[in-house]
Amino acid sequence: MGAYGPASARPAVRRRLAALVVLAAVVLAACGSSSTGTAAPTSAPVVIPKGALVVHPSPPTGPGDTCNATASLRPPATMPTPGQMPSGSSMAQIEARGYLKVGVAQSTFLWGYRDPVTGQLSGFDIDMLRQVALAIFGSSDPKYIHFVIVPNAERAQAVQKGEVDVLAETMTINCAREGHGSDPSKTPVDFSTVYYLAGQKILVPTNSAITGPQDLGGKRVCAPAGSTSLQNLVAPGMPKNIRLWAVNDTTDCLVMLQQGQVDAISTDDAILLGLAAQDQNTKIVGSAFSTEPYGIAISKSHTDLTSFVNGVLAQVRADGVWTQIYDTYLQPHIGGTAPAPPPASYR
Amino acid sequence: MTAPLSRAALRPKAQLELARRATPVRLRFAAVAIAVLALLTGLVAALATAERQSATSSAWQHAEPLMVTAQAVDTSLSDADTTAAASFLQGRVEPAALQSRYQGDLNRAAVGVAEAAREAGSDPAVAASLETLSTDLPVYAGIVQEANFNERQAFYPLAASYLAEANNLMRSSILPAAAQVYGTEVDRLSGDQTTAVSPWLVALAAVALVALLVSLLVAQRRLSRHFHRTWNVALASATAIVLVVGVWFTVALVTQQSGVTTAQANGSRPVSAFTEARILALRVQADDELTLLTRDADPSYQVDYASTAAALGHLLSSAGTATGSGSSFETNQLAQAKAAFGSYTTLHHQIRAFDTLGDLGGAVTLASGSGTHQLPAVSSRLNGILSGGIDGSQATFVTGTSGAASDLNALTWGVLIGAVLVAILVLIGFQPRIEEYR
Repeated sequence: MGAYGPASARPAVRRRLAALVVLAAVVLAACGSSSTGTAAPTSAPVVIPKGALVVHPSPPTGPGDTCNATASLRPPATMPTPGQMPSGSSMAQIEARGYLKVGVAQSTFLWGYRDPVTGQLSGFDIDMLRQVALAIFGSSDPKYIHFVIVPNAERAQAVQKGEVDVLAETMTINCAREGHGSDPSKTPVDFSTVYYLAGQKILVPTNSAITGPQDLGGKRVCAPAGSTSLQNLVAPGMPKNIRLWAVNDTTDCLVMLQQGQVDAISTDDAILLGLAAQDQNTKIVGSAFSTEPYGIAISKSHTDLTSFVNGVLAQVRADGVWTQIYDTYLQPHIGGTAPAPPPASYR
Repeated sequence: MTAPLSRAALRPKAQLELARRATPVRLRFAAVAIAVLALLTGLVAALATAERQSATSSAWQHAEPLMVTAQAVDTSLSDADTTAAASFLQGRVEPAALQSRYQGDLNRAAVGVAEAAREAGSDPAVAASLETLSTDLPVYAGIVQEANFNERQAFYPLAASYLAEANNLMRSSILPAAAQVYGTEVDRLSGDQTTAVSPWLVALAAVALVALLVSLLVAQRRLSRHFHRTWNVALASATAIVLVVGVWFTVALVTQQSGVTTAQANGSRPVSAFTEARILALRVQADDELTLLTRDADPSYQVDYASTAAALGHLLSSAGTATGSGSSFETNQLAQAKAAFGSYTTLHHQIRAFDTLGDLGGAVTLASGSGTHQLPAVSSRLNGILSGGIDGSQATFVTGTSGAASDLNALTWGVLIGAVLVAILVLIGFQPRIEEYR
């Protein structure tokens, strides 16, 4: 919302131009084949993103968060000096290797995406991870951080198998992912303290009459495949007949919305913010109907690293770096002044 | 019809008796029989020639251009898809060279589809595919345009999503339609080529020619014995004409057959192989590009890479050996292509290693940089060799087949006129002998 870039007036013109080009091409193509006298007007093909599917998810099972999932390990009493990690620690191993392996997304705008101007990966998640590398090596030289693009569905495995040391991909901390609760994950991971508090909302075209989840009955709604966002949309209290589309990549939802194939997108407001920033003809509506605390995922066998990362997060909360990162990526699209960082909770 | 005379020739004891009974009726019958045989021989030979000439011309002037058109559509579309992905890897402002390459590809494809629709649009075998191409292409262009637009706005993930959607449309609908049209045209050409060397009418014509020659010789021998005249100018001329036309017929058809066969072996067959290889090569490149530029959640491009690269490797190793011996041009071009694909494969592994070890920047640089050992240069070497293979084999095909078609120029009329002349000369040659009985 309020995500108006400098080029806000031009896209509509460009898009109309594109439509004209397409129309002209269709007419030309029709003329080309009409010499046979058999060309009949055919309906334009319906093109949807690869893998987009109509789905019927089952509602979330079991009780909500009963394990105090967001309470993480306490930071060390004194943080080690960058470049001098305590010997034998996970951080010392990373230091010896020469770089930190981090798991990120590259197509979640504002959070983890490749900036085409610089060619660099950027985003809120990515800058949080850069802070971890900085705390280990004492330098922000890019050689100290290696980015691994991890598909959403493989985030926990990548962490637990050690393909990455730390991972930040708009990943919600919950009991199941930590290995607790009624339906625990088969590959549980540890989480840092909360670095951002998101909640599920709805993105619609600016001219839509939808104002909240209560208006979604009978509407076509898009959400990422396999996500809790889908489940939340069929939870008790939601309208019964929402027609749900699942896509492999959340940005595909915006493609479908722009192509008029869905009426709304519903997932974490943090992610919706990134979608809205790419299309100023959309708006985020309603209040959050779920709580999605984001944490950095770390292997359960590296508890010292989890404590260390929590120490880094405590620093960035305190020294204003968190606010700087917020102001870089989110403030231009949310407006106002930066809120206080989410407080840490320890167990 | 020649039976009485031949039989007489074969049974010397009956010869005298037969000669004694050689009445004008009998002579007239022989004359007409040989004349009719001459006309029939001419007709069969003309039909055989016409069948081969029309199939050869059709292969050269109709089937082959259609196949070239379909091949151009198919490779242009593959190239457009790869180029669209490549220009994304280059960043926010598309390089002019890639932009014009993409536009050129789309133009070639659109012109090709229109051409194919004009030439073969009423053919039910390709009508549906051509319609798919006409309707999907503008939609594809629109989606890529949307991707470009979003990339220019620095809406990178959205641009990548549109690009992935365009690629999906290309691979799931457009390329299969193009491949279907191409496959149909390849089959049509090979059908023409089979007809162009069809042996049946030619064999019949050869048998008739031999029979005609034998009957002429026997008739002359019989007449010269019976009437004690050593030289019948008309019949001798007829025999000479049969011999000349027969030699012409044989030489022309042997040359034409060898021309068509060579054009097929060193022309159209390698064209198909190089075309297929080029499409596969473009596809593996697109797989590598799309893997890097798009998305978090799509490992399918590398799955596709594995099967496509395997198919390409197999094709490059087996293409030259399929018929035992390709031309030296083909063998040489294939060897170069194999080496170039080897470099590409090495580069592919380097890119994957960078990517999986977490150096995305390094992977993107390798995949989009301008160095001679980076993807654009390496893939364009491979593509250049394969295009060269297509063009070279294409030229061989055109030269061979047009030559073969011209080998039969005038032969159809030649055998017909020859047959009529022979028939007239036979009637003239017998006439004085028949008149001696008046």
